[in-house]
Amino acid sequence: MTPLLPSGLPIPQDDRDGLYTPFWEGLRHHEIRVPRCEHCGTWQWLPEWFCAQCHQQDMRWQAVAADGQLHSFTRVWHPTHPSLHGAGPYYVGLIALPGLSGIRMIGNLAMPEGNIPQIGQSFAPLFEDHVRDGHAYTLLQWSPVTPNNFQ
Amino acid sequence: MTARTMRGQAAVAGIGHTTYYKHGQSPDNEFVMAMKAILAACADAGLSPREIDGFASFGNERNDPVRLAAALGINELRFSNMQWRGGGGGCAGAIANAAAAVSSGLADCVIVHRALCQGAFGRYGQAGGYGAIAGEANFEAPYGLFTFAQKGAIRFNRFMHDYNIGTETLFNVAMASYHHAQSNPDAVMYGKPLTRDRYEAARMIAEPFRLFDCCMENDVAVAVLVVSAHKARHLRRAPAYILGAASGAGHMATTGLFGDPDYASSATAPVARRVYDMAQVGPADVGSVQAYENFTGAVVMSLADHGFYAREDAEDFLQLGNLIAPEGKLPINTAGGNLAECYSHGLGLALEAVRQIRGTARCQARRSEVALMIGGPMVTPTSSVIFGAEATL
Repeated sequence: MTPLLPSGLPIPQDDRDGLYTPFWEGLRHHEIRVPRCEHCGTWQWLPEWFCAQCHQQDMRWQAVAADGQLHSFTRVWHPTHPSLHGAGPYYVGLIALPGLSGIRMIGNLAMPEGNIPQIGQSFAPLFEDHVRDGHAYTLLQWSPVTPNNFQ
Repeated sequence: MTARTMRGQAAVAGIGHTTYYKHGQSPDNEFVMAMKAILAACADAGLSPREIDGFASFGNERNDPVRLAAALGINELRFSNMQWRGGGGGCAGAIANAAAAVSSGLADCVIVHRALCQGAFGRYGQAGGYGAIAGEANFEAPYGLFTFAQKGAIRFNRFMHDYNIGTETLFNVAMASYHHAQSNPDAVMYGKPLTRDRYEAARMIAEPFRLFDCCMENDVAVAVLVVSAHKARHLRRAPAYILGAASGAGHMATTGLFGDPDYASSATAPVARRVYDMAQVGPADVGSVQAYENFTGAVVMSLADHGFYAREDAEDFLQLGNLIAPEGKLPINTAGGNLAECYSHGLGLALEAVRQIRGTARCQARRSEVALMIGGPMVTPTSSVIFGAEATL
C-alpha cells in the first residue's frame, strides 16, 4: 500500500517514559489498543498513568473494536512541513470510537477519487506500516466503510 | 462575610506597543522590543519604570522577569508570574493574574507583556524544528498535522456542521477586523482593505480557513500596566478598571486538543460564566468586544460561548453591520485585531479594550463603559477579562 502522505514527516516517539509505547506496539500488530482502568472500567484517552475517574494506578491496554465514525475533519492545502511541499491537499480526520466514551483519534483519510468525507460517516482503520532509518512503526489511517458519491 | 472578588480593585493605567511589523522585519531583537513596549506603557501612565514591581505573562513568552527587572533597574521585584500553556489562550489570564497580585497586595505595579518576533524565532504557520516531537504531537505530526490553523479547522468544521454556518459568516468576521484597521494607521493592514473577491481568491490554508481567516505572523511587543484602583486615579490616564477576569477550562477540556467533551465549541464557556459573575454584568451590558481571532471561526464560537447569541443563531447575528463601530449592535476587533492590526498572541486586544474604555479608540463603539476581551479560544486554558469605566464601579 502506498502511504497516504509523503515520507519525511516526524516519526512517533516514546518520549513520555513509555506512556504511549503500548499504543504504538498495538499498531505494529494492527490493533488499536486503548488504556482502560482495571479498577473502575473507565476508558481513557489521551493515555495517562492514573485513571482520571477513580485515581487508581491500574491502567491496562486493551484492543478495541476497530470501526469509528468521522467526528470532524479538514483538508489541508497549505504545506507546513518541507516534505509536504508539492504533495497536494490531504485529509486529516478525527475519528470517534463508538462505545468508548468520547475517545477520538487523529488520522489521515483515504478517500477514493471524487469522494469527500461526511461527518458521521463510518470509517475502518487502515494500518500503514513504515520502516525508516531501521525503525519500524505503523500509522493509524482510516478509509470509508462505504464509499460515497457526495460532491 | 465579604464576597471574594477583585471587582474594581485593579485597573490598567498604561498601555504601550512597538511599531507593528510583518514577521522578520523588526530591526530590533525581541528583548529590545519588550523593553520598548514596557517603557511606552509607563510613559503612557506617567509612572517611573523603577516603580514596576511585578511581571505577568503567559505561555511561550521568552523574555523573563528577572532579566527585565535588571534591565529596567526596578526598585524591587515582588511578583514574577507565568500563566501556563495555552499560547494566546492565556493573554487575558495574565491580566487576571496581574490584577490578583495587585488586589491582594502581593505587588503594586505589574507589567503584563508579550514580545513575539516570529521572524527570528519561527513562524506559527510552519512546522519548526520538528526533528523530534514530544507529547501529544506524537498523535498529530506523523499525520501532517502541525499548525494550529489545521487543528482549529477540524474543531470549527464540527461547529459549522452542527450549527449550519456558511463561509459568508467567516468573511464577515474577517471583514470587521479589516474594516476597522483601515482607520488605524498603526495596523499592518492599514491601507490594504479586504473585499469579498479578495477573500475568496486567497489560497486555502486548511478547510474551511482561507488565508484571510488566519491571524498574521508578526514581530511585535505590547505591554499593559496594572496598578491598584487607588493608584490609577492618581496617574495620567482615566483608569480602565478590571471588573472581572477568569481563566481555565471545563471538565476534561484539557484532554489534548481533540478530547474536549464540548468539542464543537471555543472551550471558553466556563470562563465566560465566571467573568460575567465577577464583573456583575451580562452580555447585554458589553459595548464592544476584542475577540481573539486566531481564526475567524474561533470568534464565531467564542461569541456564542460568551452569550451574545445561541450557537444555532450565529449566522443570523454575525452580519457585518452588527460588528462595526460605532453603530453596530456588537462592534468587534475595533483596531483590526489579530487579523489586520497585529498578532501579539492576543495581548494587543487588551490595548484596544482599554482605549474603548478611555474613549480614545479610533473606531469608538457607541457604548464605551464596558469592554470585553476574549483570549485565545479552543486551546486551554482560555481566559477573558472585562474592563469598566469609572461609572461602572
